[in-house]
Amino acid sequence: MKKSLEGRVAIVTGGGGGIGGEVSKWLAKEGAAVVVNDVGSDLSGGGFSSTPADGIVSEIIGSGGDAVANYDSVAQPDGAKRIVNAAMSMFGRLDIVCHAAGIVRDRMVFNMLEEEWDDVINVHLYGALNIVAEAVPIMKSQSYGRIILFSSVSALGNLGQCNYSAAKGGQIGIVQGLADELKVDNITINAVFPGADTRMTEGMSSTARAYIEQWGVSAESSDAQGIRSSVRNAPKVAYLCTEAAANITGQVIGVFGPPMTVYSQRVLMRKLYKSNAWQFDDLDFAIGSSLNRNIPESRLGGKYEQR
Amino acid sequence: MGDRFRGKVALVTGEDHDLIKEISTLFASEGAAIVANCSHSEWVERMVSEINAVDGVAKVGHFDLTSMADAESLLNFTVDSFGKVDVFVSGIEIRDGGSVLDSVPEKWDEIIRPVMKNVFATTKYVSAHMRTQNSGQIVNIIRDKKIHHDISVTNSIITEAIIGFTRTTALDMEKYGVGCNAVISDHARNAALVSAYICSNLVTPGISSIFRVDEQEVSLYSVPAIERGIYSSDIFSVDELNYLVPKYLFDGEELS
Ligand SMILES: NC(=O)c1ccc[n+]([C@@H]2O[C@H](COP(=O)([O-])OP(=O)(O)OC[C@H]3O[C@@H](n4cnc5c(N)ncnc54)[C@H](O)[C@@H]3O)[C@@H](O)[C@H]2O)c1
Repeated sequence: MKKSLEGRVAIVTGGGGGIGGEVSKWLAKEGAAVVVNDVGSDLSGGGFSSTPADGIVSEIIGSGGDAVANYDSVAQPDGAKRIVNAAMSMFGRLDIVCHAAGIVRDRMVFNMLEEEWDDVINVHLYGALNIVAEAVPIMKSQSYGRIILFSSVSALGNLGQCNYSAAKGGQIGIVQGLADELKVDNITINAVFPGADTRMTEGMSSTARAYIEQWGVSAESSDAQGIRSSVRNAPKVAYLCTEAAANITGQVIGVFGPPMTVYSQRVLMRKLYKSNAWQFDDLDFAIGSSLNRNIPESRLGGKYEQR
Repeated sequence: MGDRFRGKVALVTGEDHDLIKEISTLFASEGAAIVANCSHSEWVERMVSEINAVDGVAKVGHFDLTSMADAESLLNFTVDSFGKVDVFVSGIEIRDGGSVLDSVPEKWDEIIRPVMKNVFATTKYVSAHMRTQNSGQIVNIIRDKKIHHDISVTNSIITEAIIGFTRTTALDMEKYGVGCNAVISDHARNAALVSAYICSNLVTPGISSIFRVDEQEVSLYSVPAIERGIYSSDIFSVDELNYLVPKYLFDGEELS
């Protein structure tokens, strides 16, 4: 039987990381040739190492797949160019881009430093723009492409992550803004909300525990690790990269844990209409008593803690 | 004329003249002292003197808010002038950058980066101050994104980024009694009115809402939430997903 990604060429940024590594391996297992891109930085973006990308590449090659390592930073326009060139020169085409590179520099908004803001925006948001802008002309010329941006449920708000929420929200903006334009060339672009216990999620929080127990598994049992494992994300991402997923674009897809989910678009929930000019007193009545009545807190902007 | 903001201090920033004028005049007419910051200095001087001529109290800020140091200076200028900041309304105007695909990184830098830096820099210093006061309201007004109708990509990116930022700022400031909300609008006067309403009445701190405000309509946007899901206790295979996703996750429909 033909593998679902036979003959396809993929780039995975952050492809040596916790989730990116599993995605790289799964794409290879489905038959894709993979450029495993990773700067091998520490969690806050400092340092360099070729080890993470090399490790994943040798695992892929060891199990009969095809892969090359690349160590350029996707946060730099030139870096993104070199990553795409690596795919073209090694494998001659480019079908799939998964942008899973990421760093965190958490701090409350009132204390956050300028460089913490810049660094996170640069990797997640500008990294996405850089790699998408390099990849799309090639995908257009092939009339085929699959782009997945690794956003986060933190785009909906998460304590101490104003930089990360802005960057991950911006990725959703890229996806929603480009989907229609790319559709004509048979290119899909989606955002995923991944999740796993990687170095990014520091130990087990109470929300992680509650998440595990929701699946009927005790947080202490050996199955708990499996529920929050990186590999859970990978086949769902791989599916979105197949030809069969041609109709799924502009979406936000949850790939975390046992389920695969689809998020609703941002929609208007309730409209209040007035034919002549609004006044303060109208608003007291309208917003104060009817705009949000009987709408569940979760739809209005209740709290999100799971990331 | 009213008293809703008597004794309060409002900081208003942005480059959209209509919007800044509507906000500043409205808050001033309800008794607030105003600091308005806009890079077009002649224009903002004139607007402020108009407010002062009709019995308001307003001052001009001339700071470049894409600079952290200037954003801090604006906060200090406001506190030195009026003793505190109760309300911060940021008028975010998004220039149409066309498609990001047709432009170059330098162009995104020109359009996206300064807007985001401005919002971060001003919010950082204002929220640090509001934290010491244990009160305050922040409203980010995003001019004109008709979500999902012919929007430019830069517009879409900035809007979603600012919404993410707004919601996290609300969570960060919750325990200090400070609210942070967003208003997406193509109508300056009503955007000002709804912002003033938010600052005078609402808002449960920590819960931020995204309003859509037009000439005749005031609406609330939903927060994206899980609509549908498929589950497996084992790790899925791509073959299984090939069967399950079209059938159950997307109900077999063509997606738009
Ligand atoms: N772990 C989670 O629960 C979770 C939740 C939501 C979203 N995410 C997102 O999923 C993605 C993967 O996260 P993870 O948990 O595997 O993190 P990770 O830290 O294990 O992996 C991220 C990898 O990105 C690499 N990287 C950093 N900056 C880079 C750059 N400029 N160019 C190229 N590579 C770079 C790092 O070296 C690292 O190997 C990230 O975008 C993250 O924000 C993770």
